[in-house]
Amino acid sequence: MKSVLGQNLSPRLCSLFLLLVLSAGFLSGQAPLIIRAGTIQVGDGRILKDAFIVIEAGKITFVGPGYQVKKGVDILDCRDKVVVPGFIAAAAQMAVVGQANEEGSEITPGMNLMYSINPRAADFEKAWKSGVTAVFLAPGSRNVFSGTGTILKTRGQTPQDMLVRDQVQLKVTLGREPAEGNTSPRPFAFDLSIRRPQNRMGVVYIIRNELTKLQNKSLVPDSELTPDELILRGVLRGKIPLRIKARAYLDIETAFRLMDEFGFRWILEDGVEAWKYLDELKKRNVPVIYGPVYNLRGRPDFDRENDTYLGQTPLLLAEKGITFALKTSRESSIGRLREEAIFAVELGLAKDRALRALTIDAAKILGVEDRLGSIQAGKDADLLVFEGDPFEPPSRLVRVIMSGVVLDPQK
Amino acid sequence: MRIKRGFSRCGAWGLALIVCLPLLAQPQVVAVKAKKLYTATGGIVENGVILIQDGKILNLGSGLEIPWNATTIDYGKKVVIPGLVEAHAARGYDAANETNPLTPFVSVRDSIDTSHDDFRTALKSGVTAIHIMPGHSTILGGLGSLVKTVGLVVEDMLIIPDSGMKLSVVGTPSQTRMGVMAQLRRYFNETKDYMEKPDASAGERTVSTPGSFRSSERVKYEAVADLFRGRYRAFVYCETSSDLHRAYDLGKKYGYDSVFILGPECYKAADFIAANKLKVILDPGLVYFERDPLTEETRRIDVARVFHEKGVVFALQSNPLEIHSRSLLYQAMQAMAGGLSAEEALEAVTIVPARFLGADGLLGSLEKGKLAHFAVLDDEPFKVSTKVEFVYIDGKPVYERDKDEELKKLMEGKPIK
Repeated sequence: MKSVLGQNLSPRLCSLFLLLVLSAGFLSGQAPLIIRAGTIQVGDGRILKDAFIVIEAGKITFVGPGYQVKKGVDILDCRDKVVVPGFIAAAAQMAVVGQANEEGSEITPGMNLMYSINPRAADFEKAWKSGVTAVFLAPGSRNVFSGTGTILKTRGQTPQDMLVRDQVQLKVTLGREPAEGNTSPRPFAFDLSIRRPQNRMGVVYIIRNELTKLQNKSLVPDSELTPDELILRGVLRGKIPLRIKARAYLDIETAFRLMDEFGFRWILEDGVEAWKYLDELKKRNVPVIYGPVYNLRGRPDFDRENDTYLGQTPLLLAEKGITFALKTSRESSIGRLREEAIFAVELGLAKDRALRALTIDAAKILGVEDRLGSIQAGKDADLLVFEGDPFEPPSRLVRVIMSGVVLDPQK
Repeated sequence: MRIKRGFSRCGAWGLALIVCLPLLAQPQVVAVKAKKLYTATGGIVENGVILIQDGKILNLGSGLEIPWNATTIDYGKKVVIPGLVEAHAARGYDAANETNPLTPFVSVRDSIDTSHDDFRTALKSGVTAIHIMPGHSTILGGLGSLVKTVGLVVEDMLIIPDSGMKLSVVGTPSQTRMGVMAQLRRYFNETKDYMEKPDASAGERTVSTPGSFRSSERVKYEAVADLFRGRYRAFVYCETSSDLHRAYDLGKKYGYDSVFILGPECYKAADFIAANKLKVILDPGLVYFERDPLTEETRRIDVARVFHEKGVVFALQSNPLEIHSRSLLYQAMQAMAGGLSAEEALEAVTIVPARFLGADGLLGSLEKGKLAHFAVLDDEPFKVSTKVEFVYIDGKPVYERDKDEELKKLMEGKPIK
């Protein structure tokens, strides 16, 4: 059995996969990948001991104890290991060719990052080698409406290959970032470089203006709207949630006010001061993508918006029953997602809650819990094999399984 | 924590005073009891007792007899580890690098800010000694000092003043590597010439004495001359494996002993380091992703594992600004993922750095005669939930988690709304 864990598995699986592709449905009874795991942390809080996971054509087809293994079928022996779902980064900025901000206008809801993604970027390889198997990418934070986000697997040849779902959430940034550095119109100035919002009020004004314009067009049929307007209509009709990036308390309050006015669904990203609005977030059912958890003095992005950091925020969100995911700090730090969760555990977050934040809760926030986020029959076979408890630093990540392909993350 | 005094309060105070006067003249003995002592050099002592007198460890062992006049502090089921030693840190002051690249004569003693929060952060995570050094950007950066993590003035904090010379063989934006090497050789040759002058080694360093040469010359060369005389080691920053080879050759040629501060890419020189038994401090980033420019493949390198498998004994350093290297205990845990045992990981943050600094006679382990620097943990070390509850420096409690208002405010505050 030991040899199955070795290097020779991967090419064999690849050839099997190739065979599957070539036969294109003619051959039924494709040999499944069977994992025998000592511990399976399903992702939704359940823990299975000495159970099997069966994977066929990249999907999980069976999870549980007591699987009848046919003779001659290889088993990936993980009896002394812990299997958890692949981690999902609910917010990240990486792998973009060129600029992630389209600064020609501050209102670009129709912008789609898919056209700028480099599937061969090192960040993707870093991500899956650190256990992150799916990632949400959105345009940068320089615009008020930056565009919609894309959910990608972290391994594949083309963005289409990696795509889980696109146009999932419309990113809105409140606060200083969209306004920073913009110049005001002066007489005789060359007007092409002028960008609109110059302060916090300006940002809110633009959001309100755009959404009101759309409200007033409610009788106009879809076919007469621009792509930008179609996205905003989706927001007003509750089909596309807003992803509002807000750090300080006044921006979070602004988001509540806008929610009251326009009735959209939204997700709070960053949320440095989310701890001040726990009741309100719970009451309004607003999920939070919180991070970075490690946000101490001297960090590069510390205190940018005069916000007060509280290390226990993940714990408080969990106690309140608010759905939350975690995010890392900067662009290339995608591989630190597990470390953010470990730090949250260090500050008192329960380990099963930390796992949920990186798996099923992140999938729920992104609206892809039908495909990702837990080890269940019917879902994608994106799994991590740890030597021990995934939230103890000494336990190594020894295998990553992505769509049923077994990979070695230590290389 | 229970404190009981063996020295009972008897009624006749006057009599007691007269009887005890000779005893009071002797320093007080403190006995610290804990379930486990991780000594770092002598294994784990179960049901351990540490006897402290005069800031030093008088004795330690399992179930040791406690003198009748000792103050006993019983930590019950808690665990004691030696105070952690940060092998190299360019922090604890407001600026790390001189603009002038050749300043061997400066010393961090003149710039350490005793109230800097870097020291408080270190103390909270069980670090009792930090080797403060100039930064990586200068060629001959100046002298570092090994200091305690508490003290009102620098003199209070010093354990070993001028404990090492910082060198860097890495090019800067304005200077190539060949330029750096040429400058180093020139400075070293000039120092050798200076040392050959008749009374170069006679006087005290930095004290101007009348002689055959001017005192400014003395200031300029004495610090490097002391390096050549073996008064301290060179701490050489090497970014790549080829830097390491160059730095090693330079040290050999001029006859000084070096400790190498490695960049992540130096893992490629692991065989060389192992064969020559070099003293190395690993980069704070223990997991290194390397992009192959030709194949565009990204490889993941577990740096601690590479060195451990070659049998290299290394020290770890931390960088509190980054989550992945935030404390020495966390670094040790990551090194365990690289295959080190718990004992080896503990050594990499205690006795190994102490040896590199030539301070292993003073600290780095729980041993008879060493300074009583240790941390009390609520559980086994190297578990993510384990907390540093108390820190002792020179036998005195200097940190208590329960009374750490700063930590409470930052981490455990309650929402206001």
